[in-house]
Amino acid sequence: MLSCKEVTEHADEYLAQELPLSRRIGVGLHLMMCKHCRRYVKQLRWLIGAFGELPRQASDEEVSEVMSRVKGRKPPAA
Amino acid sequence: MLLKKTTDDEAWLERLQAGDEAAFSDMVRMHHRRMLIVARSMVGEAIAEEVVQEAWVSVFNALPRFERRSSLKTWLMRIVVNEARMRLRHESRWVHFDDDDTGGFEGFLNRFASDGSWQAPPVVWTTHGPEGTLTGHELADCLDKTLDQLKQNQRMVLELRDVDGLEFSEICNLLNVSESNVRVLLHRARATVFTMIDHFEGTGEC
Repeated sequence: MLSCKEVTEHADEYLAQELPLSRRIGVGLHLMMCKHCRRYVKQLRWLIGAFGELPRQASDEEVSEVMSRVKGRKPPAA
Repeated sequence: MLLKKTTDDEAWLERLQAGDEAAFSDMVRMHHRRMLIVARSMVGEAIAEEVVQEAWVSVFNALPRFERRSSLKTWLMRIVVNEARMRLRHESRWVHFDDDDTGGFEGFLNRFASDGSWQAPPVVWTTHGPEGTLTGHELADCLDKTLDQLKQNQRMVLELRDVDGLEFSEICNLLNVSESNVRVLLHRARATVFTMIDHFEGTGEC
């Protein structure tokens, strides 16, 4: 029987469906019986998804700074 | 609003490689912050900005030769990592991937009793999480705040994998580290952020 700590160690690969079958079954059995680990896995799944939604767009100022830097250094003609 | 799919848009890539200025601006808008985060992880806050600016000049010059064997995103990351490495060679520093200092991850491990059962189980997340009440903007601010507290190497791997969606193989290639190393860092990063968010949920502030 896996401990809760071991379940959290496998949780990343469990969510990515990358665990070998026997280990996957072990984690699944533990989750059936342990609400704390179920909560961990559920909230971790949400968290990973939330990272993917983080806005990472640059501001207009940042864009124009790069543009003027780049335009100031045209490559030598081929 | 700029769409993510623009990066996969063939016509847009054609324009970009033909030197279209608007397409280049789109690319900068989409990728500048990501590149800055990676650069910061490698060279530190003080010169990260300069490294990324130099990387953009390299991108501009190399763009006509971009062969699309990797995604544009991965190609840009490679350029910024190379730029940062060159800088590190001058300043003789390097990211520590075999670091024993695990940052806030210890806090996560401390939540287990010696038999490996939860001693401090996670609370139900009512502000974050599946039924959370934070709006998109507040949520993003709060997550960014927690990410800022991660150790830099953990942050970098989390940004590349979970935020940017790079494959493990691409990250290994980019950073020249083993996949098991990347997986360990990612696990620690996620568990650390989990612990911080869980703490916020328990104490009510972000």
